[in-house]
Amino acid sequence: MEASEYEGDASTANSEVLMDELADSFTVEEHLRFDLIRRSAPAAAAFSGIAGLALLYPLTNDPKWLPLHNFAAYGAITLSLIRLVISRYIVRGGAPRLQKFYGYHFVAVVINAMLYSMLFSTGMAGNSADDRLIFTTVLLMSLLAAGSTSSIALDFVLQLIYISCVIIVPFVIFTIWHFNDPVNIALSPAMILIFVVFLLLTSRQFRQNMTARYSAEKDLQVEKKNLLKAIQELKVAQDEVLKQKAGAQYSAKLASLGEMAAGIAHEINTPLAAIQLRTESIVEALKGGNLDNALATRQLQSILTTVGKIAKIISGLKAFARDGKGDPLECVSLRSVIEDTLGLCAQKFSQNNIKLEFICECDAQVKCRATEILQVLINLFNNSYDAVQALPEKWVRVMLNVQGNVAHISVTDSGKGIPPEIREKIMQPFFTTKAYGQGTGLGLSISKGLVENNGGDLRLIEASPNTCFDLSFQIELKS
Amino acid sequence: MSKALAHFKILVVEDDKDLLEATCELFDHKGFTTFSADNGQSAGKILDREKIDVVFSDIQMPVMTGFELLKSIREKDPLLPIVVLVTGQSEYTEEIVIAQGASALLRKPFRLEVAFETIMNQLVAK
Repeated sequence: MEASEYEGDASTANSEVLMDELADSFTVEEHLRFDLIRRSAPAAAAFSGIAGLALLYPLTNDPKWLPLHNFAAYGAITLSLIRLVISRYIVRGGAPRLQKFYGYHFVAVVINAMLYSMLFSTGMAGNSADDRLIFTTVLLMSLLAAGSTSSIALDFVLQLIYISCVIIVPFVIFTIWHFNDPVNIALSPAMILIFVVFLLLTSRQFRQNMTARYSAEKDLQVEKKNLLKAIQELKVAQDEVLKQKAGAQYSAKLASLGEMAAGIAHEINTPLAAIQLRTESIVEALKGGNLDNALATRQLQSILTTVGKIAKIISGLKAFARDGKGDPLECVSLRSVIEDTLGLCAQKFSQNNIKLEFICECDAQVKCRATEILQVLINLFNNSYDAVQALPEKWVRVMLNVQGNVAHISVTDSGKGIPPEIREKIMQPFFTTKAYGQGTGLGLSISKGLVENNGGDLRLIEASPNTCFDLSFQIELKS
Repeated sequence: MSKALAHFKILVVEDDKDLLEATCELFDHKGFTTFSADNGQSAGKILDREKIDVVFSDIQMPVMTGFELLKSIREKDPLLPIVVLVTGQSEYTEEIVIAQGASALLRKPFRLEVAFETIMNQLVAK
């Protein structure tokens, strides 16, 4: 049982807190018993006071009964203390102790009740000369019995034994002792009956109330558990969504990478072919011993230029392929980011007769992650590419300009804008107008997220006659 | 060798100016008479004007693709040898381009010797 982990915890404050946790596993019956034990401790303390009073002011003035009276009073005090210790011990230990020690507590209360019974019986017997002592005894009996309605009423059997001991037995003794007094004989049983019935009815009400309360608590407990479970499931689902989002982001990136791959292969292999041809011609001339210096210089110069071209393509590709999420924000020239992107896409556009134009009014240094901006631009270019392919007029224009403290990159294509009815949806994840399998519908939503992560903004310019997206960033340096 | 080959006219069609220049220079150097065009349309004009023996053409080009050029050539001349160039990783195989009307396929980057041999084979076959 998990509760045993908390056993022996010395701190009272902690114990109380843990008790609430332990109580979660209680059945309604156990709740009632535990409550009884909790109420038992102060009752035991108070009732031992009654026995103490009886020692100070004996309930009997008959020396024949006095030893038994004192024995009962000392016994009652002792048992009260035992009851107190047991109940405190159970309260501090929780569920496992409740199961183990409830029986001991029960027995202690019963023996205690018997000793009180003996104490009061001595008060009832042999006091015929003193009505004052009988009255005091009856008063104390009533106090004890009344106290039981809140201290042990939650266990009906225990309370019945208790009341029988502290009320009924002394009155039986009284009746026997004062049999010759007809008024007492007539009135006593009636009074006792009324009193006992009253006590039992009150206790029954109390028991019912407490049972209802603990049942409700139990139901609440179940609700709470369900709620916690639901929250847990929600958290798991949320994690799953975040994971999927990261995965989708990666596949969207791969998809745009795939779209470019064919173009890039062409773009690299073509200059490679030029290099190969030029190199071979030099080698051949060297072998033949007829190497013309001027020709060789020109060929080698061309080779160097071509190598530079390939290096640029590869650097753009590398910048795109790597995951720049963890990179710090760095001061980056937007012009160089755009040029890198154009280097990757130019071939694809020119092969399909799409005019790709870059108008750079002035460069701007912006704090961002170049890789992510490059990814956004490629995505915008790919969208434009798809959009204009079937149009008679095919062009895409990238413009970099600065207004005040803000740098704007606008990507405009010859398309006629986004229809008003879908304008609000285009930035939402999984929204796509492309045919099934052609687009993930994540491009713009991911792009928007990426731009915002870089402290910028991506929006559609609705007023433009053509389709136009605007990327804006706060400027670090204008140049 | 140079003098003998000078009779043969080769038309090189390639949109990459660097590669176009390098190829033309080398074919010139080998002794061929070389013509250059940077797209299918201007290649068509040269074909109308000159009696070309071999066409050496890229496939992926703006304005008019290599396949469109192939089609327009085949409409006029079913026998003119046409060597097409594709990039190394291209999905176009020899079967595909031959089915489209090409005579041979070369993958970029290619060895000068291989290009020369392919062209010679085409000339011999002709």
